[in-house]
Amino acid sequence: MERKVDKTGVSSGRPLGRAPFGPDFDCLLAAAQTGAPWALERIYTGLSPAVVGYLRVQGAADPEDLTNEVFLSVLRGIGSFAGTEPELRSWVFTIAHSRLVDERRRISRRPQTAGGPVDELPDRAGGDAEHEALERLSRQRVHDLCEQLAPDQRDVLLLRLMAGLTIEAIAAAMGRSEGAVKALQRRGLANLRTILERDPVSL
Amino acid sequence: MDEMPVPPLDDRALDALLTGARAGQSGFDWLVPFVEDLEQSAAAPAPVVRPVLATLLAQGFSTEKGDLPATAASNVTGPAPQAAGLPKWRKKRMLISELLAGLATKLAGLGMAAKAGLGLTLAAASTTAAGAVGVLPAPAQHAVATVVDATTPFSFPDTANAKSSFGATVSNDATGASDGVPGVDGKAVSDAAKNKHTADAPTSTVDAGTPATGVGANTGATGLDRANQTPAAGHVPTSVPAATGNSGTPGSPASNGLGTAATTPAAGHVPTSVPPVTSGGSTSASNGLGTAATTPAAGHVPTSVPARP
Repeated sequence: MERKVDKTGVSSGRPLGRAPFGPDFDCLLAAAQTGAPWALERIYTGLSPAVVGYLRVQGAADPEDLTNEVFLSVLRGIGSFAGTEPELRSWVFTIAHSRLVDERRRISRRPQTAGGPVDELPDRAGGDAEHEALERLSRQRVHDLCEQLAPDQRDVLLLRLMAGLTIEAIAAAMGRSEGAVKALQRRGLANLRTILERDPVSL
Repeated sequence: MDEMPVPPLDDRALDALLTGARAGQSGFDWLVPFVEDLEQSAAAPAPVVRPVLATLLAQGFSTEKGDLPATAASNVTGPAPQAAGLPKWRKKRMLISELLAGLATKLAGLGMAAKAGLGLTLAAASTTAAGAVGVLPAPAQHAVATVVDATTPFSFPDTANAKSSFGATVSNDATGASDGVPGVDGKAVSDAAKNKHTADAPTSTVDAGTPATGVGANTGATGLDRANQTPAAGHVPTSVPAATGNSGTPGSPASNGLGTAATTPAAGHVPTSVPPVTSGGSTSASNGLGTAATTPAAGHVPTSVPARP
């Protein structure tokens, strides 16, 4: 699922794990809609890592617990879903974002991204120490960059770049117009580029 | 935070970057390292499954058993109607409540004039019904009966009229206009008056020929008959002694009262004859000695009266 990037920045392979199910998606969805445990588990294992990563970067208080809530809603409502794999992914992240907003309102505090994501990473039993160190560095850089973005810009960029939602889907998830989402995306990318050019060491 | 000028964002180019196109083709080379870091963040293992979700993942759900996912899809037309429904008493109470609520709503929607008219109509209907039964006070009953008699083919009882005509009835009875026999029939008048003023018989009319019933409504022709209708009937003599000379014309042979006295329990002590009455001064024995000599104490009567000094 990892994407290979060469020294010239040319990407190859499956990007961001956005198509974990492949051509078997239709059969998988049909089985999940009949309540087959194997299909439900495959959907969970295919999408939950991206969801918990998104929630962690967004500064959720308990990303794993919130991910469980998200997939309870997803699997209970899978019977009424109809669409393609990207649409399923977009639907899942829309639910995740809604739960995140609910949590923010519930705890009535600004999303706290500082200091959390790296320290709260779960330990992997039998993992590669070098690989884990690189992951921690990556998450720390993402965390530092997102902390410098405005909340709305960060939401749009993460939903666009990490969850892979379209402008239309982001507008629906955030309750904004497509024009507003495009404007937020443009300003967020500009700010991000400014940050990267000012401090290239951050990445 | 200053914004650097950004080339016009081609959303399709960004999509190309996100879907794995070459960075050189998308125009977002500078963004590739950030996207790769995001990918690393999303490459974490699946989070720990909580018990509720674990149960769902392990057991799945059955669409045939009506579990929640299937129920949500099949419930689009709303819940099915209840098979049992409400109990009868509840339905009846709800029906009454709905009727009352509907009437209240309609009444509230009426104008002031309509409300006043409805109130007058209800009051008139109530008064008419009470008048038909005859439970109104005498003046009101008279008014209702007069109106009904004048406007409808029906007639209501009018106790005021009956009482006011009571004197005329007695007068007619006394003059003989009613029955051809002069003189007041005391029994009939008494019975009629009693019936007129008895609270539990307000609708009876003055009709001496219609005997009333109940205690006090005596109808016998004689005192004995009426006495026998009382609780003391067992102590009433069975006959009235025939009329004798004690109440007859003075001067008759049996007018001295001895005959009547002989029928009393003290008959044994009654003298058998009454001395004849003589007019004073018309006989020689006008001094009273003659009369005294005829009494049982004649032996003690002096023979002469001493001369006056």
